[in-house]
Amino acid sequence: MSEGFRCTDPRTGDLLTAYQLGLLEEAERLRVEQHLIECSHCQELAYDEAPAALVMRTRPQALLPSLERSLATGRPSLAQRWRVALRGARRPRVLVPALAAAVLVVVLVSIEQREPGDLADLARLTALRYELVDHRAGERDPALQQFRAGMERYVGGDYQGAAEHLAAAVSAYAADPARASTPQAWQARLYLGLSHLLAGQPEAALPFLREATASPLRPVADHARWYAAQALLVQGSAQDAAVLLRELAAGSPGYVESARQQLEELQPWLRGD
Amino acid sequence: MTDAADITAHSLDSLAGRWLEGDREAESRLFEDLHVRFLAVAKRRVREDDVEDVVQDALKTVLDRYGTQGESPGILVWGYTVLRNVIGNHYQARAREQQRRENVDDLAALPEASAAAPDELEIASEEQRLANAIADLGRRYPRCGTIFRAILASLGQGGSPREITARALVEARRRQPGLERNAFYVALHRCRGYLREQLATGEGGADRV
Repeated sequence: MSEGFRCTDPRTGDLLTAYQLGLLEEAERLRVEQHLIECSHCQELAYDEAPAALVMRTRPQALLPSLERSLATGRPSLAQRWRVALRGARRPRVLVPALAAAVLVVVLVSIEQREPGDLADLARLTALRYELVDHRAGERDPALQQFRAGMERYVGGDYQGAAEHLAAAVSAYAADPARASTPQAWQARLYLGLSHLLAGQPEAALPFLREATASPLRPVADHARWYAAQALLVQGSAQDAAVLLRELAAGSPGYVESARQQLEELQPWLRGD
Repeated sequence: MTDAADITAHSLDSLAGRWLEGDREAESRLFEDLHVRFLAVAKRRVREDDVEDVVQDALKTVLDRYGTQGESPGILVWGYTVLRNVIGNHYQARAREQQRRENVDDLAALPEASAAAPDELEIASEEQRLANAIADLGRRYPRCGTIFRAILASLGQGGSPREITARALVEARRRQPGLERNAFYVALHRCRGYLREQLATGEGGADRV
């Protein structure tokens, strides 16, 4: 039932399992308990998982033997999965295309089978709030019209639609040297990047977000750094993400805490397995 | 009744410890707090007319049974397990009543209400299901398997929260050197999410209410 709700404070919500297993000190226990009063998502999780948590706390050693055996066995290597995929495709006329197909499948499965606790799970993809403002001048300004159309879709959650209009706005601003560095031009780049990211396209997002980090407007530049870091996390680039997060942690009024916390979460990837 | 926002300065487990030592004020504050929490969950599952009865049944079981079996597994974990059983019993009682009204002969086909307090049979059943799911998770995702192994091994040795975490971190750092405490908790929570999926797609186990 937790699916119908979203966590109101993920930083505290992430401590829920540790709380249920009795790993937290008093101050953190209080913090989680306060959170459980306010957050329906975590209430439901705590309720649903109570029986399992009870077993883990009271009979942990009963759960270990089968886990030890599974860890000792390990998961099949790429080569093993390839051999399984090729089994039966022995005739040469079948083998070559089957081989190509099997390689493709195995590679795709390897890419798709992300391990939980992987880097992309750390990315925080919450939409940046935007309040629509009436621009009378927009009626005769195609670039601004496209920007407004894009932001209307962004606010409505249609990120793909937003990206299409914002791309047109960015092109229009870029084509006019006098307007290429206006606040709307920087905002258009930022929100275009963000729209791509929220539409699940981190590769398309990054160029625009990186461009926006050069904005002379501090809030725009900081937002762009943050979301570029999130895009890099989705792509699996821990080191590159950390560079941006360190910049934010060094003194961005809006992101210093979030950046520090995320850098802490990134430590395992920065030092390597 | 305590307002939902009025939280005491002591954690629930701290209050529970004091209650079990005979502190009546702690007992009162603890049960007011639990009442608020149980109500929030029960309201989403039970008809408005029955919510308070269900919550009171659960609280009474906690009052009568918590701490009587030696282990103190965290009062909210234990309390939510009790509440789940009470709500499950409530559904079964309603189903039996419905069948009775429809004059169905085979009332024996309906399960009897289980004990509200989690008993050995229930814990053993959940244990098997969980052991299978954790093992499957370890096979598919070794990183999560390592984290769970570290935690379970350390829980088995007992101690304070700090001691348990410290031991588990030492173990987890064999695979992830430099792993920080908070990152460990976050990874544990994420892995728990995948375990939840494993349990949801697995066979057997108690019905979820």
